[in-house]
Amino acid sequence: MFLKVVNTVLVTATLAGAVYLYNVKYEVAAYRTHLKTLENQVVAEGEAINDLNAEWSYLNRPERLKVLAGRYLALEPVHAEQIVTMENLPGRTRDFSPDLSAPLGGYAGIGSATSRIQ
Amino acid sequence: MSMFKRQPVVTPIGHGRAPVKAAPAGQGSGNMTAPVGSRARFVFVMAACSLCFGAITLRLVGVTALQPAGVVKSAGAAQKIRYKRPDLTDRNDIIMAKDLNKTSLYADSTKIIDVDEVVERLTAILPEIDPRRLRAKLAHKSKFIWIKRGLTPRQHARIFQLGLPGLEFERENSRVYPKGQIAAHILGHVNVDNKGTAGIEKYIDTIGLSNTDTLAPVRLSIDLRAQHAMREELIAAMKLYKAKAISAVVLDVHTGEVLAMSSLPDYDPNAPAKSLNKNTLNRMTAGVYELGSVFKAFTVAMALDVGAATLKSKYDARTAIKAASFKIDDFHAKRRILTVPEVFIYSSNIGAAKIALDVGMEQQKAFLKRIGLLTRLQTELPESRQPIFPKIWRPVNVMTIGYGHGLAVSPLQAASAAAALVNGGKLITPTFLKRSEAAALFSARQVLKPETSAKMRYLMRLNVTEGTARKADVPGYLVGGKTGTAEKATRYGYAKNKLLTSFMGTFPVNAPKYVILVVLDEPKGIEQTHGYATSGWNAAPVSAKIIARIAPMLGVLPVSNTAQPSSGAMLAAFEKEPR
Repeated sequence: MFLKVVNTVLVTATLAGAVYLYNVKYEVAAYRTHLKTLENQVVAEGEAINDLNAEWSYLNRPERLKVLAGRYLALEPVHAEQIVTMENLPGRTRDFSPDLSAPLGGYAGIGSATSRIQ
Repeated sequence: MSMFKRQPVVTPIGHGRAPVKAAPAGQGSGNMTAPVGSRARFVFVMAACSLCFGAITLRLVGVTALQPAGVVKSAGAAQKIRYKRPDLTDRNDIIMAKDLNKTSLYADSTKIIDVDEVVERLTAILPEIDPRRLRAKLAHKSKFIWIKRGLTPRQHARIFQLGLPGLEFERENSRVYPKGQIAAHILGHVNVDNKGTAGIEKYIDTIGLSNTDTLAPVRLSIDLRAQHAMREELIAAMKLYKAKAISAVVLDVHTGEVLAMSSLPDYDPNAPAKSLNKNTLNRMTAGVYELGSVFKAFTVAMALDVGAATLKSKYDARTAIKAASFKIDDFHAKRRILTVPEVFIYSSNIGAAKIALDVGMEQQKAFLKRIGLLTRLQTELPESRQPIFPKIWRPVNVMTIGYGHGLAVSPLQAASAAAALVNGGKLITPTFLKRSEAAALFSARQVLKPETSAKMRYLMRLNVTEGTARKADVPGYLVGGKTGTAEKATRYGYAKNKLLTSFMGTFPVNAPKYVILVVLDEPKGIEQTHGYATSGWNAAPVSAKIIARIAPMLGVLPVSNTAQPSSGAMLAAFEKEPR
């Protein structure tokens, strides 16, 4: 009787194992197909990026950009006289920094005077 | 559950073989008391079974574990065809050459059923294919016959839909140069197998940068914007002066990097067949020329450096020199005694010849060798040529080479020597790959005294403000340089009407960053130049136009015109602070 139970358990386990293995195997196969698809997609995307980089480089040919700039922009090559450095700028003619020591005149001065009285 | 029940085993003893044979196989396994004969048979069967299963196991391992290697092996043949190349970019990482995938068609003629059908159907889709040649090719039994490299996607789809056995497709790398002709001579080109056959493409193959697993982009020293601007000016100038050819180079004097180099006429590396035309040769590296008066810069530098002359030395240029069978005379003849700066700015042949004589034959040879003008200049570009100079150096050669005749060098070589003239005396081998100043200094050689270099900068500036190169000036960018007009050597001696004009200059001259060399081959005198075809009328103004366009791109800060130092003040400054 005991043997029977053991045998039943073993047979069931074997069958369950077989079913499980079957499922896992098919799952793996499905994953593998998916992986392959993704890998192919990655390669295809990489190639597309490569192609687009080449295309971008082609579209940015200096001679084409020149034509486009001539059509849409009112820009010209820069001339030497358009470039000025800081030290070549003329100095300030007036000093705009506030003089804190000078007495405040007008109403401002009156305001400060009244506040002092209080 | 009877199959789990142990059956009592009847062991027939002494019955010989027959009962064992009759016994069911499943029951024999537990039999430990089999007779000797049947035991031997049992061992034999077990061994046979083990062998069979062993073979199956081995095969299984072979098929599963070793199959990938087999796949790689079969792809290896195709790998040889597909030569992978790295991208080439300019110094600012702008792509100038790239591998793209293309589909190519090949045939396995052992699988073709009806050759005539294949030929007929294919020529309908690919009309450029000659049916007779294709039939001849396919008649030959081979597993691999190229039919067409580089199909359009539409052609690919149509051939695929034919469904003919024996027609196979191969994905291949093909090289494209998206910027077209702009830097043809630098980039070079590849053959149908994607292997480099010229220029940098060939170089990267020889040093093993291509067809590896990790293809890092190769960054060139070229600045695409400057290259384009320069080439555009050269195209315009070639047309304006009706020149046969024109070429130019811009070199960084501190790193030796070639920022821009162009030689017209050029070709499209995407269709390299035209590169076979002799006229499209890279005149900057693969051609050698007697550059004429620009060599006076080297002569004067030599005399100042070895101490054979100073800026105050005087030379008698009143009468032409008669040497051997010919006469050395001045083009801009002054007929008086000239100082060294005057010899330079009036481009006196007589003066330069006498300066060279003062230096002497041995010193001249040693100096020219030192600044790299007597040996072949080796850069990354495979196209190079040995300078041509007289085998036996006679006094007359000393004089003619003093003003640039009798020694033919490649223009790039001259530009690199000119960089040494102005950068403080360091000779740096030019490069077409991006390089830092520190790396350049590592291979640099001091060939001139820094003081000599400072004096040369002064003379070059003087020549632009007061001499033959006035048209080379660009306000703000302090151009200095030397013009050269050489009569081209022909079979019948020097031709009066066939000129090679050049301008060798530097900017900004107070602290040189770049050297420019422009060479025109047989420019004609035109209305705007009052019929003159000499360098000051063509090479110098072309250089000015190029500098005006590229200097802002290269980040050269202009000097405001009021702050521009006079030549005299400059000399004083140079003498105070030699650099």
